[in-house]
Amino acid sequence: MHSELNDGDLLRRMLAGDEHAFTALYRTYQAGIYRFARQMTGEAGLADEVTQEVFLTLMREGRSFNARRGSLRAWLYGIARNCIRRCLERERLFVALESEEHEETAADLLPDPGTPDDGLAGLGSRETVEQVRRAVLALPPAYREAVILCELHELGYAEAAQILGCPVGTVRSRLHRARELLAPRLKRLRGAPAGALAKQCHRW
Amino acid sequence: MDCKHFDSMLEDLERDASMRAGARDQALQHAEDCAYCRARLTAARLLSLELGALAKHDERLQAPAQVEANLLGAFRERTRRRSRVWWGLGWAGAAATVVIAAWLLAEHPWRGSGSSAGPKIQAVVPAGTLHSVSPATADKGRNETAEALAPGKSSRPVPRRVAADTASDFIALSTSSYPLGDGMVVRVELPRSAPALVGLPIPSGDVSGTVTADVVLGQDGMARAIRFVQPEERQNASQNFGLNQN
Repeated sequence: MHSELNDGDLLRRMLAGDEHAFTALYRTYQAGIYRFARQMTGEAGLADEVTQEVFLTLMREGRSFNARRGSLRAWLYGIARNCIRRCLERERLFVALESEEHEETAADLLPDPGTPDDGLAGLGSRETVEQVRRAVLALPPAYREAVILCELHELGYAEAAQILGCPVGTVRSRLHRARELLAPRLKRLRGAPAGALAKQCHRW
Repeated sequence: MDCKHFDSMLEDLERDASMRAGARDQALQHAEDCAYCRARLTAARLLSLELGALAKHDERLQAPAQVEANLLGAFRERTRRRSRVWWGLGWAGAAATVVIAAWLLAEHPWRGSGSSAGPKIQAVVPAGTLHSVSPATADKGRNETAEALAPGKSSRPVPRRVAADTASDFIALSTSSYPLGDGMVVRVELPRSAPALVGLPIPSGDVSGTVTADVVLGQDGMARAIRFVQPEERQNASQNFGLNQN
């Protein structure tokens, strides 16, 4: 029955206490939200936390959703984006405290272009995927979210602009810049040794 | 088309965004002619393929089942808590309504008699009508007060016109610590919903119009008891709220 209802109907029912409506909304959007969080943070635990927080916010503040200002998906992604930013800030502070002993950052995980190529010949598609993932994770957050939303989630510029709370032109320029940053990094990664790659993948 | 213009269109070319066919052809033609832009286009296509591979790989990712279980638990708890709050508010609202209505019943019959909106005093029985009801009896509580004030128990008969009417027993309205002493009975017109405030059914379930009631006032001016009266002329009507014939 709930499969025939649109997001607005499901939201109204959910706010009236209909558990099936909540489940239907959750199952429709959880995967996208979770992927967005995981691709932005690189941490499965943080992605769990963000997904949970997004849907708790939906329960608490679902009444504040206004369909005239955008889709429910964009609203949920926007909440996820705010949660992710808070998590990244918290993690950054945590890493900063640790960094006296452990200086490695996401950008440092990228290989030195001068590193000799000793193992790329045998890399399969999984390794390539992990290279790309690490390169995306090394982008500054503003560019990272643009490339994840527009390239990995294939959202339109307008919807991405709603989520990011900025004009469409800004999304386009961030995406352009993100791709410019990614291209040389990936080119270097294609020449990275397997050991460095394994090190990069350890968080995933 | 120059290289700068081509560069600005690179993402749109790769994303197959809704480009005009003419603009797309021009860009591709420029890439054919310009080695630098051709290399840029090739690099952009490679990047798109790599990002596409990542997107495809992550397609299967979804939140663990535990997250859904936690959220459903939170949803159920929230729904339960909200329904408890609503029940509480409902009861508080009902209690507040009863208190306000009792206050209105107790205060307005004599203080607001000049107002057309308030209950109207139809007849006043001279003070002293109930002076034989002892203060102790009046303060013993609702049941005893009602019993003491019940028709036939008062040592003095109510006026003849009142006696011809059909009336319920008196129902105590307050437990004032001030002794009843002498009191008086006033006849008032109240909204038809008034019987419900003291636990009697609304006549015919219709809340429009008024009902007649006798209110016992103590020396302190407080309403002590009330009974609902069906005047003689209305006795054949269908309304019935448990009245006794005097």
